Amino acid sequence: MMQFSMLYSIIPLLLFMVIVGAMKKTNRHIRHVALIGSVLPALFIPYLAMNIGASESYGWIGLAALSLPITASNTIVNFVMFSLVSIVAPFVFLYSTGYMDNQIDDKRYYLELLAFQAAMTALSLSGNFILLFIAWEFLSVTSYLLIGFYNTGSAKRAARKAITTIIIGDIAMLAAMALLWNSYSTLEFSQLAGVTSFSAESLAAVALLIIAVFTKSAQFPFTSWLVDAMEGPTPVSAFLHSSTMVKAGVFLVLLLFPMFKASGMLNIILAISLITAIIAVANGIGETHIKKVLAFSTIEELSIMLVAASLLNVYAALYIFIVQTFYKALLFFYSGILYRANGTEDITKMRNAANMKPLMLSGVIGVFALTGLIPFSTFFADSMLDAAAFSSGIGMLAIIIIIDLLLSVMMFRWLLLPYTKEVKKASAAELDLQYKLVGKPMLYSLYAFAFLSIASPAILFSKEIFGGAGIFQFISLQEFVLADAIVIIGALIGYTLMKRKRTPYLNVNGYIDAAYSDVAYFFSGASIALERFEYLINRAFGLSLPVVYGTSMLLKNVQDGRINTYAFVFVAGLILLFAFFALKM
Amino acid sequence: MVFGFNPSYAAVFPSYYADAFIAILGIIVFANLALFLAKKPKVQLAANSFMFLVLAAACFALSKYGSAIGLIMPSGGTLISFSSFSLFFGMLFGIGMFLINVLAFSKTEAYQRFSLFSSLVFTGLYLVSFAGSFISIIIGMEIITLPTVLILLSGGYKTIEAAVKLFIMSAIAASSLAFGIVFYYGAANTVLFTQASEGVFLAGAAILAIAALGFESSIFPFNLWVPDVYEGARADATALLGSINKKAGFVALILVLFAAFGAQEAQMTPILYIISILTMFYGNILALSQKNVKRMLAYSSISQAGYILIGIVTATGYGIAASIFQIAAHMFMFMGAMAIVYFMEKNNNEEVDNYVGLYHSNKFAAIVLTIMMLGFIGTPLTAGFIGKFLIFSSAVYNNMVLLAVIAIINTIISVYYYLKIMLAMFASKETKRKYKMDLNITAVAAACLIIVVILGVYPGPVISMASAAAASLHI
Amino acid sequence: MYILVGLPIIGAFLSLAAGRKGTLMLLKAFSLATLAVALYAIYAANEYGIAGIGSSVAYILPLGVNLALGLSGISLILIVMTSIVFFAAALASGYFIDKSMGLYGFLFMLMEATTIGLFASSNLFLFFVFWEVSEVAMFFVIYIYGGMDRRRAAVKFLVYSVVASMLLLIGIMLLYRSSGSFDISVLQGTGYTMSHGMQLLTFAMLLIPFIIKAPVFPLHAWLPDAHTEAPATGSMVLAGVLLKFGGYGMLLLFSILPEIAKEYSVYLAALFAISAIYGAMNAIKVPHLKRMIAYTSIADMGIVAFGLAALNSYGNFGAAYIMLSHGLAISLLFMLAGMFDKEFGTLVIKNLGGIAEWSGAAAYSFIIGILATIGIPLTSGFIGDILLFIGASGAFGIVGIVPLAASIIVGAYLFWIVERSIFRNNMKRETYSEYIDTYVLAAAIVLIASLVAFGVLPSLFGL
Repeated sequence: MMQFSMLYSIIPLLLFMVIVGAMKKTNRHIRHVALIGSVLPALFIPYLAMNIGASESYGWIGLAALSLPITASNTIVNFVMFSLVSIVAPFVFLYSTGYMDNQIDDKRYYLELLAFQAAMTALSLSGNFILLFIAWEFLSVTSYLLIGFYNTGSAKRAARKAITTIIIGDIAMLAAMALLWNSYSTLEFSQLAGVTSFSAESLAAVALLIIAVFTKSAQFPFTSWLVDAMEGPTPVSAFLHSSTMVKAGVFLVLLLFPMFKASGMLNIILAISLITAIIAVANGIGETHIKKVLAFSTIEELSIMLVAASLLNVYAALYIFIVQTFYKALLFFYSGILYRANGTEDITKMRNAANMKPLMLSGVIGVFALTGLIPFSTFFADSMLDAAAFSSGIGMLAIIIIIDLLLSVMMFRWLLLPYTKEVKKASAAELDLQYKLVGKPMLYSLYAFAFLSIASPAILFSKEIFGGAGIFQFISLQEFVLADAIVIIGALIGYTLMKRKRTPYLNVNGYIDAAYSDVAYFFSGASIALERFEYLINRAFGLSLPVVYGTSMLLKNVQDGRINTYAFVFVAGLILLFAFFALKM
Repeated sequence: MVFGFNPSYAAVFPSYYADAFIAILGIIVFANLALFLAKKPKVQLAANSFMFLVLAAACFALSKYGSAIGLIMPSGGTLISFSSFSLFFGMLFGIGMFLINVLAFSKTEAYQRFSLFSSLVFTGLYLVSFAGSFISIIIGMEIITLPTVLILLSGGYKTIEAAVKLFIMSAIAASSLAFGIVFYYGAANTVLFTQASEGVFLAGAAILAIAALGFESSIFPFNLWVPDVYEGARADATALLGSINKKAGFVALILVLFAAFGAQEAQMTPILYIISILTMFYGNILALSQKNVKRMLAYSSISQAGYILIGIVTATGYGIAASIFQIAAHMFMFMGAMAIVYFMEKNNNEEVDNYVGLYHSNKFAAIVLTIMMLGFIGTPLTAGFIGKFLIFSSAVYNNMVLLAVIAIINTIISVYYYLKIMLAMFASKETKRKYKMDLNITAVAAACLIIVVILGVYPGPVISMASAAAASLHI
Repeated sequence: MYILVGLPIIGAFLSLAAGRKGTLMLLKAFSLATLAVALYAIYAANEYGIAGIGSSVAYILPLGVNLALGLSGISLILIVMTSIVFFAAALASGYFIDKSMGLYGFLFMLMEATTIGLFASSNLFLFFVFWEVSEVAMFFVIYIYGGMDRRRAAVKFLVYSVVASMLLLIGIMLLYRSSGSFDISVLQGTGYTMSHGMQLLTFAMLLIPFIIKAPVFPLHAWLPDAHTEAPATGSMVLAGVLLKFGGYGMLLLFSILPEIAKEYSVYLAALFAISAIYGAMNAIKVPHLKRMIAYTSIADMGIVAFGLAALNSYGNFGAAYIMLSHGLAISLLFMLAGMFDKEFGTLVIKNLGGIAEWSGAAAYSFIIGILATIGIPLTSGFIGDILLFIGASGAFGIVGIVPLAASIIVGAYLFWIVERSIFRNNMKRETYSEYIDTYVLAAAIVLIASLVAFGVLPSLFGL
């Protein structure tokens, strides 16, 4: 009998994929069946909690001295990720039952979503590059399918953009795996973490891994795919592009942190992440699409996680990693509800619900949690980060403060704009009705996450994860003042900015997009040039025929049909032979 | 037909040599009588076939069991010599002439003449194969060529030109050969094949012999007559020319070169080397611009002669065996191809353009012609491949890699014109005409097809026979 | 072993006599039977060890050639792939071929026999025979059943082929000359007995045919035309199987003349890497779908050759696995492309559209084909990629991963195609049939299932 394996947590998902696949397309209960399926992995959480530190390895590919097993491990980071995924997923499915009202495509949607969850679960349990890579690639594929879910041209375009960007990172990771194996003869995380010496090859491998991290977590210069990925349905955005998939890059950094640290490449991560954060907030301030603002803020959060890690404060990174899940999902759910009620995704044209207090409160909780008002989650993170930044120099602290400020501006503008829109009385009533019609599942998910967002700072007390209550040493009076001040100032600026018609912002993302187009044009142009070259090669080879043919036509004249000629050649040939022979003598 | 009987061999011949000989003679006489006296073409065909096949069988039996009963003598020293070489070609020519006769069969008077002439040609063929002296060679060659001219004449008005050209050129060649024999006699004091080595005229004799026999074998520069004559003749006569006469030329050439001029080998090899290269190129390059199928096949057979010559150039047992095999292979490939061309000619299709869509008109013809073409190119599973393989490998194994490379370049060039015909045949124009093939043509085509494929797939026995034939030349 | 080669030959001759329906049944039955035998061979190899499988019968005694067929680890992989591709093509043949079915069946089965025979042959004489016959058969398939411009494409194909096979012939003879045997295992031990100059000459003579076949830049010019004009099932076989002759040949060559191979491995690797990237770059702006997939083939085979040039067992097995994966995936893509041609009447990418609307299965199959080509895990492509690049970077260091750039480019433009022609909703004209043809779907399922099976169970091949 096989031992009980952590990887069994994936089986319920696969099983339910088969079940959903077997159901008829128009079955009303696909959504409910899928929901049950998505809850099942959560049952494994207690088992994993009791077995922290375990790992299992299964032989897979082996050739002579080469052995590439599939290893699952359950370190703290793994466990955290697994728990996050398993907790968020059911709520996303619940939200989807209310949000996705087009039943024709239910089957395809839930299949892809379950597949995604399976891949994510596998990723969270990975103990070596093989399992990680398998899951990583499937994340890319399911993300592609889900982003392009709607049948519009822009959705398909966004999906293609996503996958062609992420592929760069995927293949970089493949290359890194080859190089790592050649340097260290292992792809196990536990062993790679202890690596101390680096050759040129392994440094190249680390660089390639960093590229993979950047593509997945949408850092500069790969930011634009995430922004466009908002073409997907809102639950997808909530699940993939805020709480789980994009954090895979950060996940990898956390898993292999000792190796990254020893290689000395953390500075690169630091620099690029800071640049990305600035780009994100600078763009987000002027964005009007409700989900794209959230996308920019996600990018900023990912950058901050990476900054924290590269400033050697792994705890901060891990903490943000955990709490960001909840408030991000919350905000996406919120935006989905607003979209459903208003029928538009432009925040300048929306109007918030006048008398649905829990909804409004949830939105406010989300934004507070994101920006870091005490006692909401990010406050503690910001404290740790400020301290780490301060120890790296006042300049670093200044940059972080500016980023925080701009973030705050962006988010409050986002939150408050829908409140300020003027509406006529008649349409106000209509609007209220729409809000009343919002599906209950969506609201329940929303409230659940509001609760979790508030409760999540409690995780700081976990000794297993954070190793002691020394965390709270960062909290001091200056910090208290600083953080809250940032938030409040930001809120005010946001409020005033809102009043203007146009907000000044920096469209760096647009430049990045333009750069992509330029790259694409370059390749197209090169391709056309090469095609000319092909044509030349063909002509060169084709020349042989006319040459031989021409010779043939020329020689034909020898055979003129006159016997005199033939006889002459006969005798001449004879004489030549004699001459040749005579010469040789 | 045995004169100059060498008494020293009397002790070797057991008594039933005479019996067997008389039996065979009787068969020949009877058959020819039947030939002269019969009025119906069918009977003549039967008579001829009987003679040819029985003799072929006899040669086969002798080659298998002859050495056991002491009937095989090494060559050299008699006017007629029995050796594995001779018996092999005896067999080959027997089968070949049989097939030609079937091909040319028709219920007209023309066939009656044909059958007479072909039995004469047959005699000449055997004279040449079993030759032990130059007299046999020259008489044999003439007996082969002159009836062929007469055969050509009976084809109609258009063929007169071909016949005349053949006649004149053969006269020139014959005189060259005679001149060569004179030199040889002057140096070696005999017309028998002895491997004489002194005498400055021997080399001259060799060259003259090469010229004369090269005329028949269509090697450069003695082959200018080939395209005209092949094109002018009726297709079945062309089959005779290309399958039989040419091969006879090669048989004579090999015999003469190795049995008589063996000592001059070192001097002759470079000459032959250059000649073979030129022949290959001449045949392949000129074939490219041809539109008439018979002419194209004529040039193709010239280039094939070049390939055969390569084996001779190597002057080793393996090389000569390779040439012998290729001679046999080419005989049947050419005959098969000509059978189809004859069939098309009867329906007035002579140019490549007329062959378009042949596959849809008559699948069998298209398939046979395709396989013959593939054989000429050297595709495996056909006899042509084995032949080419043997020849090229003999060149490579004897340090003549350059020759092999030139040969493959020629093969590449030849693909173009063989392709022309193949592409035309399988073009998808549906034609309304459905041709029906005469029974005799079908039979010959099928026989050649089967032989070519069998030689391609299971050549072992034939290769052994060819090697034995080559070995018996005592290189 | 003889069953593997003999079965299709019997089928070939039978189908000459059968009518359309009969031939179709024969095709499916015989290719399925061959596939079954090949799968049994996997089982036998795992149970009894590979060396035990092989047979030899005296053939042409005077030349010292035997009808010797045998298996090695890598040739088993290729044989299994071949039988799967042929089975899938046989399933789809009914849909694509509509004339002269008997002749098609003959040529098809002949090709199956000779391609399997080539991978199974233990001596070079048989290798050559099978090589040449399959080339000629392919020529006829292209010429008789191909598209508009098939004459030019078929002629080009044949001429390049004959050049390749003639050089191959001379090379084989040179090897025989210095070692006295055609047998591959004997040759693998005597490469050193030749002088260096002779080795170099022989190596060059043998390398060029494989470069033509693989194909590797700059001798690749026959491929795009041949693929564009060949019928769909012809392309499946051509890209799926015939191209692997080049890869397999190079593998043999590097093991027969290891000295020269080692000396020049860096240059060869550079050439192959250039070829891979050249193929990928060329494909970007090609307007015709089949031509674009053809260039993708060039890119992939460039990677295969690159892995072989690494001269270690990881590279070799990786290359073999990529050949397996590429064969299956490209067959799938060509089959689907052919289907698009028939249904939508055009293969110009600009004009295609609405495929997902018409058939979701077709769209998803195409996507899976692309994913397999770029090496997604759980398909055999990944196993091949990881092994090959471990081997390549082991031999060449950091530059060993350069050809992966070709993979990125390939993935990028293939997904662009998907967006442009498959998902775009503008079904412009009436399609040829309502739904995807059942047999084509079955063939697609067979190919995909194999890709996944071999991706998940590398232990089948001893890995």
